[in-house]
This record gives sequence, structure tokens and C-alpha cells, in this order.
Amino acid sequence: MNPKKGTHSKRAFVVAFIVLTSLCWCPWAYGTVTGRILSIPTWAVLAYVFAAALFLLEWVFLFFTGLAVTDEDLSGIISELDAAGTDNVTAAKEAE
Amino acid sequence: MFEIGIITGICLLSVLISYAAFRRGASRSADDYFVAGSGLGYFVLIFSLLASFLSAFAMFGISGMGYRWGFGALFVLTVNLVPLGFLWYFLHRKTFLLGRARRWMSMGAPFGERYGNGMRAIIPIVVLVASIPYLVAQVQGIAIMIEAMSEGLIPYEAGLFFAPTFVALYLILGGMKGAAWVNTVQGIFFTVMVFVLFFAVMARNGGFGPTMDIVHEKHPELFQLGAGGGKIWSYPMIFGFAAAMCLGSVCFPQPYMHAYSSRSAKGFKVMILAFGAICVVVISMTIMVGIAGRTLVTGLEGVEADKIYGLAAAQTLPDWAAALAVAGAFTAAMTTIIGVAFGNASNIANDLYKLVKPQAGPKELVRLARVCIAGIMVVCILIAWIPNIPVAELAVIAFGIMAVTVFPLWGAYFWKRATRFGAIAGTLVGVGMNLMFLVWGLLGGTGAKKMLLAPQEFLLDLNGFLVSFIVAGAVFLTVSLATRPGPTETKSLRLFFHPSLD
Repeated sequence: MNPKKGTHSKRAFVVAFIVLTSLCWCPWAYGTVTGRILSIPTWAVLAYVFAAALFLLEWVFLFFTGLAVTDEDLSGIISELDAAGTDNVTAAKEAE
Repeated sequence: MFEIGIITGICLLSVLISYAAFRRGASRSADDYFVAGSGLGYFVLIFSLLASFLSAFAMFGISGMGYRWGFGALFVLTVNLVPLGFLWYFLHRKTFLLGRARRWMSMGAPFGERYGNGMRAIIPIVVLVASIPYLVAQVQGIAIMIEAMSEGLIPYEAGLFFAPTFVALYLILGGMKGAAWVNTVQGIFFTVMVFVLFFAVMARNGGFGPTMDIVHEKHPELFQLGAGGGKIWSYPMIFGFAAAMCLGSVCFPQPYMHAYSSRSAKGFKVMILAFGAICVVVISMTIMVGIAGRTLVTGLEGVEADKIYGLAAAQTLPDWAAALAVAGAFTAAMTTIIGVAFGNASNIANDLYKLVKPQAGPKELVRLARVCIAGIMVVCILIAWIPNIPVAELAVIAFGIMAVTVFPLWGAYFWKRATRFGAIAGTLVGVGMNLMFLVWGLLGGTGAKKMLLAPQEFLLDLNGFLVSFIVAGAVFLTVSLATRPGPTETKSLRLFFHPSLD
């Protein structure tokens, strides 16, 4: 993925996550909706809808966008970090 | 006594599972013991993480909350936990990757590598302080359940030994791999029992719709927000509960240990995504069991309402099935003890002891962790023995204290300018403020739970937890900006901000 496009997509996801999180943490605006759907309060149904939307968005982000870490990348990342970690230890020992 | 027999049977079976899981393919190294050789698949990860978080509160406390206050309880442990899917990902992606590369085995490891030995020592102590009351509350709860289920034949004091004995056996024999498998088996068991109880309770009045219609007719306030003159489920109350439970969950030892133990990136992602969704389904059911409980039992007030789960089971299921339903809540408490006790033992061995004795070998660390597990269980029994300590009140501090460590964690992974002084100051101030509100609540008559979780007028309608959290964050940022990163922080940037992690 184009890194610039990836950054923009990531930001868009983060904004959506924050908005939906705020709706899952407090029924701003929709808490005053009265009535019942499927025997439960309408505001509770809306809370479930926002939670479901957030879940789906997280699913898409984690598995279908290429923005999250995958098993294909894992071994490469670990070897690079292994090398960087060894350099770090060597540098620390030299500094001592 | 039938229930006790079932529970003992489940626990004994779990001991065998724990030992077999560890023996199977294990080389008995420290890596195997502490992080299951980073070899857990996603099915085990999902249920192990779920079970290690959901305590007896998720069954008894939440159904009692549904009974007393209605649908607003959905914001305590259900929809508010769905954000953990991305919060855990963003905050623990580097825990997973760096943990694997650096062979981390404890919660203090990332803090130690990023900020130095000060934070490496503080984190295990803070986690231990926060989690001991939480563990004691579970041990006490189990002892009370045993006394009630045996109709007084097994006294409270004898019941105190039940959970610690089995937990010590699981963990000493099986380590992380054993714990994960026990959690999985017990997690599936209590999930199934919640489903069974939910359908039995709803069937009593002709299905879900008719049951809710009956409750709505008699208790419309359970379907409202802001009932009781605007006090019950006001927006500040909802936000306080929702944020405290979710942010506290980010920083408990369990997500660290499970991130280190995941076999694959897919397993890690599935685990964090599934957690919130399963909580929504399972805990919604326990809330609705509590709400529907109004059609079965009337007049339960205050903490008495927490009995609705057992009473609903007794009224709607045959004796043996009701016993299994209550046993489900029992196993939920056991698995929480397993997760928290093991996280603490790993922290003490790999962080504190390693600081004192850096040359300690893997066998010595494993031996020490086993001793720590036994020690933590003994301490829990001793504290629970004193009946006048308000443990349930004190247990609420766990989420608030754990949550303040989110700032140093965020700084470690995302802010190059973060310093050890900022991390230490933010953590200590946050912990100190939580303790101050706790003491204030206990001595002032407000109650620790109310002070930390309910909105307080003098705190601008925020609760003690949120105020401590905000101040801890402000202190972390301010002190970090006012101080210079030392050699440890500067050197750590090469690893923590490695281009491969972008």
C-alpha cells in the first residue's frame, strides 16, 4: 500500500474508532430516545448498533485493509527487531 | 452439597488438563512456563483472556445491577468493552512484536527497557498493590458461595482454602499453558451455563418479548436512563463506569501475558477482536437474567440483589442444572484468580527478582514464580480471614490503579520525548490519587466504590477514577516535557521506534 494513502486511511479509522467509542461509552444524543424495539429500550438497541458498527470496523481494519500486522510480515519484523535488540545490548555494554 | 461435588469435579479435571497441557510438547523452559512458548492458538487465547477477565462480578454483580437498575448496566461490561478491539491493538501491537523479539515474559519488561530499572521495579509493585484486594474479593466470594451451597457444612474459613489450593495447583504444575487451557475449559463452561440460564428464565414467561413486557409494565424505570430523579444512569455515571472498566482492562497483566503467548499475529488480532463481542453477548444475557428476575423474585434490595442469579437458576432450572449454573459463576471467579495471580508471579520473578539478581537462570525464575504463586495465595487467605476488611470496596481500586499505567505505556511506544521521570511521576501521582479517593470514601462515609465510580459534584460530576486518570496523564506529559530523556530512554528509541514497527 502507498505509505501516504496508508497513513490517511489509518487516520480515518482512528477518527471513526474515537467517535464510535464515545457513543459506546455514553449515550450522548440518543439516550433521550424513548420507545422500545424488540422489547428492549430503543436507546439500548442504538447502543448495540454502535457497538456492532465499531466491531465491524475493527474487523475490517485488523483483517482486510493491510494496515494491521500480518503473519506474512511477522518473521521479517521479528528478525529486524532481533538485530536491533542485539545492537542495543552491544551499545549499552560499550557505553558501560 | 451436590454443587460442591460438581465444582470439585471441574477443579480436579482442570488440574489434570493443566498438567497435561504443560507436559504436551513442553521443554519446561522459562519461556514455556511464563508465556507458553509463544505457542497458543487463537481459540485458547480468546477463551483464556475472556475467562481471566470475567470474574464472579460478571455473573452475580452484573445480574444484580440489571435487577436493581435495568438496561443501563449495558454500559458497564458490554458495549463499552467493544473499543478494546482497537485499543488493545494500538497499545499492545508493539507489546506483541517486541515481546516476541526480546523474549519478554512480564508486564514490567517493556517499561524496563524503555524507561530503565525504576519503572521496571514500580510496575510489578503497583500491579500487586492493585490486584491483591481484587484477588481477595474473589477468594472471599468463593468461600461465601461454598458456605451457602453446603448449607453451612463447610464453614467460611475452610472455604477460603478451596480456590487458592486449586489455583496454586494449576499454576505451579502448568504455568501459562496450563492456566490458558484451564481458563478455556472453565470459560466455555460458564459461557454455556449463562446461555442455559438465560433461555430458561425467558421461557418461564413465554419467551423474551413477553418477559420484557411484564417487567416493563411493572418497572418502566428499568428501561430508562436518568431514573430516580436523574441520578440512576445519568450520563456522568454511565461515562464513569464505561471508561473505568474499559481503560482499566487495557492495562491489566492479562493482555500482556496473552500477547506474549500468542502463536501468530492472526491469533493476537482474533483474540482482541473477539473479546468485546463475546462480552456483549454473554454479559447482556446476565443483565437480562437480572431484569427478568423481577418477574421471579421481588423485594431484593442493595447487595441482596446480587443473589438474583442463583435465585433465578433455582426457580427455573432443575436442581442439578441450577447447581451447574451457580458452578459457572464459581469457575468465573477461579479463572480471574488464575489470570491475575499468574501475572503477578511473572512480574515478581522476571522484573523484581531479575533486578536484584540479573544472573538468575530460567530454572531459578520458574522456581521463584511457583513460590510467589503459593505466597500470593497465602496472603489472600490471611487477608480474607479478617472479616471486617471491606474487600469488595477495596477491589474497585484495581481498575483505577491499572489504568494510570496507560500513559507510560503509550509514551513508551508512541512518544519519543517521554522520560523516566514523567513515567514514574505520572504513575505514582495516579496511584496516590486513587488511594486518596479510596481512603476519603471509606472514612468520609461516601464509600470507596461510590467515590471512585459514581460522579461527585465537587469533582465537576466526574468520578474519582477519571480525575486520577486525567491528573496522571497531565503529570506524565508535563514532567516528561520538563525533563530530558536519559541514556536509557535515548538508547531504547532505536528499538521501540524501529522502522519495521511503523
